Amino acid sequence: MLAKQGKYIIKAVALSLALLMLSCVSSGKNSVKYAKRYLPTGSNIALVINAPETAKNMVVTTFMNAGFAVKSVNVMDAESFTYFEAKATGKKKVTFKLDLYSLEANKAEALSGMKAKLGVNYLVIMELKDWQKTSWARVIDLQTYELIWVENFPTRYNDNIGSLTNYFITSMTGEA
Amino acid sequence: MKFRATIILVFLGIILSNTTTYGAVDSIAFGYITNTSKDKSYDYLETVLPHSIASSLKNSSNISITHTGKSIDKLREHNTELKKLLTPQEAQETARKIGSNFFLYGYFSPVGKNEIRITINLYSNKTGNFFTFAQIEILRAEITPLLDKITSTLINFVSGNEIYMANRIQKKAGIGFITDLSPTEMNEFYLPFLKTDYRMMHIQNNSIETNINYKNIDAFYYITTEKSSYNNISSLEEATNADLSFLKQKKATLRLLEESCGGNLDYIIIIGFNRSKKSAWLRGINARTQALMWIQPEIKGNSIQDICNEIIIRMRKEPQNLLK
Repeated sequence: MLAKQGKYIIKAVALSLALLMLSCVSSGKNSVKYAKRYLPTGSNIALVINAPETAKNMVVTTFMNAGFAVKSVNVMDAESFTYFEAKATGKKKVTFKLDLYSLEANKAEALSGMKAKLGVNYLVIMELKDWQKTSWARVIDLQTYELIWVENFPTRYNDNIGSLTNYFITSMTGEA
Repeated sequence: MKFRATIILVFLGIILSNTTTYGAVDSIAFGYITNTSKDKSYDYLETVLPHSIASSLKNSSNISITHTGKSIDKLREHNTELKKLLTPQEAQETARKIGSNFFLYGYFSPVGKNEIRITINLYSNKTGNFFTFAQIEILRAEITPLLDKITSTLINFVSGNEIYMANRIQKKAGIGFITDLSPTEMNEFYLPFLKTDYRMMHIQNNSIETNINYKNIDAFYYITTEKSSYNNISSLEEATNADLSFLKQKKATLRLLEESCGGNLDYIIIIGFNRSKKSAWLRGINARTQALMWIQPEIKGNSIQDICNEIIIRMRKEPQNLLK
């Protein structure tokens, strides 16, 4: 009886250890990170976030607490833009191509507008995912219209919206 | 024994008669390069141009040439005349009857005081693709510079599996990429380019979703621009039927896109990865002139980054060294 219980305890401890290791480790397999330049702390930024509605507020607050002036959130979401039907079927390819060029031109114009009217200097794009998926982010410098920073970060077991946002902020500012 | 030999011979005969094989050696048959202006004083170029281009190709490559005269003879065997101006369908039919790997035809007209615009069409019997490129050149007694440009373009396309590059991508060029990658794949894609001195402009990468996938990116496989184009028959028909207002809109949209990057956008490069992300094709457009400047057939690699590293190598090559 005692031997059986001992076996169960050993198995439980082994399983817990395995889970603990998993939670601490983010697999390097999908990690990607590069900074041509870093996002200066305290910049005026526009945020584009893909996260649950309640989570968006937390992301914005986290950036503001880190000293950023968040001037705009999700200006390029589905409500603000008429996303083109990206189906080639039933649509002439020449029309599809023109629609894509128009979409890109509209997005670029919107960003120019934000820069001019709101003084936004950087665009931060983030998608925060659950454990076993990869969260990602990019930073675009609107003074030169260049992509300057990218990262793919496999979400850890014990990550949440706050921890992921804080991680990305330290990473994109060069403080990580 | 006799019966078996007969069966084998009949079988071989069926295979050989039904197979149209284009030779292992590259070959180009010439049609006309026609003066489409009303100025007859330029008619002499209808003889000079195809003959000079053919000679230049013979001197610079192993491409087998069928001169215009021989093309005419071959067509006569099919009771067909070689027309001076061909529709795409007629070009296809003509090429099939002549039977070489590629069929070259074109036209020219004077522009301005001392310049001519030459348009060369190259049709591939094997792939069914049409490649068109135009050159505007000052008309001189010495046409070698013009011939050199045309010859190297043709050699690259014919011998390089339909590759074309108008110019290398200069250092610090601003590039807007359009791909069929997912957001995380796109970050992997950008990594090798960010390590170079090329500037990644905010095209496609400035939003969460792009709605471009490995199926609909094919819309960009064939492209028509004013100075150069790459098409098959159906995309050529679609481009030809596009009305003037559509073309104006396209021009204006591309201009807006260029301006929205603060004048920093030099090229729009479209890359179509296959589903496994182990190969990709590429098309490049000069954002300032709106000309198709790069046709790159399949690049293979073990990963997205492998393919990107190969693309970077090719971006830095001069057009005359594309096959080296």
